[in-house]
Amino acid sequence: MRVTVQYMGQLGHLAERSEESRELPEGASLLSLLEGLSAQYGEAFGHIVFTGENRIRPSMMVLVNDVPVEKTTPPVLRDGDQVTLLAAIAGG
Amino acid sequence: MMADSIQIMLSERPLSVAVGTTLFTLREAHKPDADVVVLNGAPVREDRVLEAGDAVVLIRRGEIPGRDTLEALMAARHTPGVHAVIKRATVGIAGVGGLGSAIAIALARIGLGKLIVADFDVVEPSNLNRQQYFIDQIGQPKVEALRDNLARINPYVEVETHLLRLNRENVPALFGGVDVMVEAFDAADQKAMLVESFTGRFPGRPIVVASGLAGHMPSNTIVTRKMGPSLVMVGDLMTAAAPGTGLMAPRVGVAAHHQANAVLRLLLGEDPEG
Repeated sequence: MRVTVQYMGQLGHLAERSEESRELPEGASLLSLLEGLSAQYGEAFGHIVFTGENRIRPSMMVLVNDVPVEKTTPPVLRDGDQVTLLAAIAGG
Repeated sequence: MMADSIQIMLSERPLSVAVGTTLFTLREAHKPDADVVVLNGAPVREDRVLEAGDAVVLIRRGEIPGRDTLEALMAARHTPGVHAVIKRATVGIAGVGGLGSAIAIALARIGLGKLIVADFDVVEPSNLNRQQYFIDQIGQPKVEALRDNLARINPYVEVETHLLRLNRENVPALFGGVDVMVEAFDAADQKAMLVESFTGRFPGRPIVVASGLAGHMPSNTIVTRKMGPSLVMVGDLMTAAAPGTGLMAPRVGVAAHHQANAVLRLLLGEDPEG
């Protein structure tokens, strides 16, 4: 199946793209997508997305088809899904 | 036969005055010590003959206008349809630091119906570089200081305060009644927590978030983006608060007012991104 990944902010700089289409095995989870991206785009990218315990970092905002998802229960992805990734930035 | 009197409104009450009565003779008769003369929503400094239907408000320096008078002046300034929407609305603000205090003030100034604000923190000296508090409020809980400051701007805006640390459990209970939710935290993980907990419980309800507003980078790098039907994101998405890149009033204020304007546009049924 294919999903579209959108990178916003710093993740876009590290991935050197704002969007791409990726082929995934049927039934792949959001977690496995993020692990694959982190392996491909390097340590800095992985450090933003994951904690040292390989959990999705609490500051990550992940949207699937424009709807924010609960990171503690990452969903299984479907063909045609659009995944948007943004690391929230401190300051207020 | 011509009428010898006309009907006007004086401080929201109907009044019959003789044809040819001027603004200043009206002031002399009803409130000679009024410092501000407002005609049809706008302050005027020159005398003129009153016309039927004119609305006049006379205010002494230091006098607090009544609710109806202030409402009428706001409605004249905002146009009545817009003001009616603002007045009916409830907005939640999570965090009342640099972003939240400025957003609350902007919304109170336009006469929002109700604000629900939550923050656990107290005013500290370093906050004064960007947060809308005063030096004599150091040590006071921010929600209480903000409530006091908002009352000095518009005492008729209802302000519900919660002195607590927000979490996934209490967000839905506190903010279930809002028309628009605003994320105004400092900590990045709290920003994401609010988006997930609010949107998870109230799918489709708009939430306006900020991310990337530190330092003194150009103002125009801060933008308002729609990220889906209910999530609006303000900021440059890049510039974090860090040593050498402090949070300062000018740029934090730019972001806060992007957020406040996004709230207003959402309330009016307009696209926040344009």
